[in-house]
Amino acid sequence: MPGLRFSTAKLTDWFDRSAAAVALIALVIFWELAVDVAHVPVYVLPAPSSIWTSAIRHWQPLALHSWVTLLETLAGFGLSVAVGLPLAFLIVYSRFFERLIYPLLVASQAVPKVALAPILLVALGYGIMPKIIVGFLIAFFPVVVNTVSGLATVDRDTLNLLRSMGASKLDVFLKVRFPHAVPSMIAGFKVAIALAVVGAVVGEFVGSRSGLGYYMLLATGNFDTPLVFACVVVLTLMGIVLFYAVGLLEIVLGRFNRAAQLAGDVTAFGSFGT
Amino acid sequence: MAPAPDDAPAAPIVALHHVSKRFRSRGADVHAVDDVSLAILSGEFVSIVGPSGCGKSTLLNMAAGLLPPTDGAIEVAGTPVIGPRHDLGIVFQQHLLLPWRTILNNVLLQIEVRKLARADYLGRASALLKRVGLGDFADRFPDELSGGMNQRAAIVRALIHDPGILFMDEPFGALDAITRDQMGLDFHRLSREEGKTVLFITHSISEAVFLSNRVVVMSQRPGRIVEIVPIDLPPDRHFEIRDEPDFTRHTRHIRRLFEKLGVLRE
Repeated sequence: MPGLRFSTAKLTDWFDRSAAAVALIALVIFWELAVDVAHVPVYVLPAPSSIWTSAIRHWQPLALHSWVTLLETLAGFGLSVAVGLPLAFLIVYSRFFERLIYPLLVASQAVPKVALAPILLVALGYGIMPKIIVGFLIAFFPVVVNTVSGLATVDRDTLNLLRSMGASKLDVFLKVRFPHAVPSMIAGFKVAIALAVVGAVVGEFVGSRSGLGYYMLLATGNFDTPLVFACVVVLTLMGIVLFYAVGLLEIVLGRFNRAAQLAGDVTAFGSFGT
Repeated sequence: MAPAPDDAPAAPIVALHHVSKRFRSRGADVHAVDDVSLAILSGEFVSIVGPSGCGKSTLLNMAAGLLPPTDGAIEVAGTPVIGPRHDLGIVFQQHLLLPWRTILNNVLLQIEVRKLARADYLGRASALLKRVGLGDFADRFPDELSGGMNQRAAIVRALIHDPGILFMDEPFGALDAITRDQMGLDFHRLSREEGKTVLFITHSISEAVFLSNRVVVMSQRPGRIVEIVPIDLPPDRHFEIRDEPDFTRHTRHIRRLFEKLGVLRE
């Protein structure tokens, strides 16, 4: 029966697209019911409904502290891009940097950067700076590594072809290496933005008078567990929004990534870099 | 620009004098090319045929100035090759089209990099694309086209700046057999029409015989020239000649050379 098969296919298709949302809703309902049935104390595990109520009641301080954390995150991410990209270019173009800096950089990843937060606090105080630095320290590595691998994986024959055309190093960079590196660069950005959130919150945990990390500690001290959860939810939403914002960059630069361009159905974005 | 074919009919346009290449690979000394001398005349279609790893691609890269020879000297269009030559058109086994550029913009990459005026070459680009059957695909991207179509675009990219000499490094090696035959014939006609000198690397005996004025037979590593076989087939090639005794006489002769070398065994 073709009609039935069609509707089954449609149902499967709908489920494929909405499976994650359905599972999330189911989880929230289960959580609500379980907390209610088992009489879990609210300071141990609040029900979703009480988290929601708490978030509504405290929306003003939540928004204020979110703003601080968002700024720290964006600054940490921005700094990691601003430092990471030039460093990646140097590593690809300079044998000295490739031999000296790159191995040190890789080795430095063994340092638990989160553990540096108290030291930064001593050096830089309670302001926004130590949070930005922690975010930068953990976020810039994926930017560098992904950009380097994107720039370096252009195949030899393509480079030979460009040499036979008399291309300068700048030509090779602008016309081949950079556009070739864009997809992996953006993959690095996506990891970096998520890590910058972590950096900001950890920085706030260690010593701060504002930001969601600070507000969470405050709420924990008051045994206001629903508010702590509300902070976690806001942080999660912030992470998701930032991740997709970086994803938008991929569509804007989609000219360089034909696969992404076909998927996003983007066709006209000028002639940047060509 | 390369001199016109009638500039100096007797002087070779590509000349290799006792060219050798040795390099170190994974701690071992590799002797890739051994004492190769070859002179290609203007307008000639010369193929180099040999087993995998015989150094034929190395030879082509050296002639293009992309790789320095260990010994010997190379001249192209009367001047010694000491660095990458810009007066050639090169086609590799992979089409190497940039996936974020349309077919037309891939062809015009050659023009942009050479700092020539794009507008001056738009007409030639369209004409050449049309000539190879890609007239309707100029604004498509490489991933929308078949391997053969992409390789045709790569050939147009090698021709757009009107070089006198074309270096072809197994250009049809990644294509299926039927597409490969068609591409070979089409490229032969195009290169004859455009009056190009062609150095063509292949590992197919019949492709080499079908396309060439002369076939250079190379041994396995270290690559040496075993014999240069003149192909006395009519200049206008058709698929039918592959069944003619004249054609099979040449392919048989070359096959026997490889049997003698131990490259082919019964």
